Amino acid sequence: MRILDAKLHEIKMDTLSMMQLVQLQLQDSTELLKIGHDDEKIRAIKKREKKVDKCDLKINRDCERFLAVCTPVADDLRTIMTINNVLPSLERLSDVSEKIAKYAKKYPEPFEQELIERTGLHNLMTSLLFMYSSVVESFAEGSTLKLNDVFVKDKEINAIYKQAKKSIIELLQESSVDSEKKVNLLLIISKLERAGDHIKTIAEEIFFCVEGVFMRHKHE
Amino acid sequence: MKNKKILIRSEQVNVYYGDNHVLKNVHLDIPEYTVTALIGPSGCGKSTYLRLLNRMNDYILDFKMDGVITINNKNIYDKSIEVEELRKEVGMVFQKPNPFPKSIYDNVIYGLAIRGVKKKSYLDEVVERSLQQAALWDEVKDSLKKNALSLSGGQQQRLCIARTLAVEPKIILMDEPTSALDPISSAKIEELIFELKQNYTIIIVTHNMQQASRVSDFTAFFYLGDLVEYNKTDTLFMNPEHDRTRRYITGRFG
Repeated sequence: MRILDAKLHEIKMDTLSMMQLVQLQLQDSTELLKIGHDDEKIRAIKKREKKVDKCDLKINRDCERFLAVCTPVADDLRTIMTINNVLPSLERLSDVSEKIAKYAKKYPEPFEQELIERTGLHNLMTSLLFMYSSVVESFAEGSTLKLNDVFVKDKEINAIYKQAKKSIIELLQESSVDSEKKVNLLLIISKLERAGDHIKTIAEEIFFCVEGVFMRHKHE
Repeated sequence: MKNKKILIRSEQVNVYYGDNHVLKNVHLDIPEYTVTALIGPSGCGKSTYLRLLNRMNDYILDFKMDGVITINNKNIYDKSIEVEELRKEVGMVFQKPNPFPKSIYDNVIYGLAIRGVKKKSYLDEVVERSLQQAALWDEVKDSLKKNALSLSGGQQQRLCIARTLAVEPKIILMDEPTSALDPISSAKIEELIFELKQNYTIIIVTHNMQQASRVSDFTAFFYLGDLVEYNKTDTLFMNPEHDRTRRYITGRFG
């Protein structure tokens, strides 16, 4: 294996590990929304968040070094650019998970079934996890086949968010009981909607990496 | 870039050295006031193509060419073309700096002197302008009578560029112009190429991929006599169309 290939492979593997850490973050934090307070999960999310930050810094430094020393071109250059560009999105996804964990610690009671149903929270979480696993698989396989699902699901998430906003306003108008909880749920849904945008950004970067075509603002 | 006029047009160009088919059906349009890099492994035909443009291959034994090359819509292989006039239009800078063992001043005016230009004030003007264009004036303006061979390698190469510019060509051909230079001198030549493309059309042969990607607007990749890919440099280095190009520029050839 050439030096360049070996170094690039190492950075790719580190990125995949970071992606898997973020996947666990998303799985655990969405689980917390279903079950409410769980000390073990909250601790695990906190611990992983630190690991994600470390990975972010290390991979970022490795990318800079690789660019300076190996002066890559073509698919090598696209790969390293993609990795460098997806790092902030991965890091923010982990941040979202940590924020949900903090919420779960402060409000240990899970949301009522009616709230979950009327806001579509369950569908939103399922779509988000599906989107994320699609981008991880696409990155690992160097393929764009599963990326279309990501763009479709992101639109679904946006629609769920809009509907959730309406539903929560209605719920607040119906009764002032648990209004703080309702507002908190809206904030969480808005964070999850933003997480969908980060995953979409990762998908756009992977598309560029594989196909060499900029997708940003173009996937319509 | 899109609207730039095509200055050099090569159509179905084939070159043979005896039985050796060294360029195969090459079609290449080069716009004016751009830098075009020719890349490819040794023996791929890029230098042969470069030398076609000022008919430097004409005297090579068993050289045979068919196809058409036009510069400004004139077929440069037409019988009516004076090679000496063509070479005034199409200057060349070689791999190794090759100044004459004469003064800096005499080196710059060489092309004009052999054409019989004698007017001192005009020659003085040309020397200053050419050396300025070649980014050498400030370094040598007080020592124009000094022997050119006493200059450093990088300065000698810029002097050779000044010598080329003195006869006011439209096109400058560069055959690996920095391969014999240190990185600082190479960087100066690259800066110079960037400046010169405002007024000249430049075609450069280089083995240095980073140099090609830095200085050129268009890149042509040759392999075994075929023009495999010709595209905007950004596109060719970011997303090459052909697998052979990709393997070559990423160093996965062979």
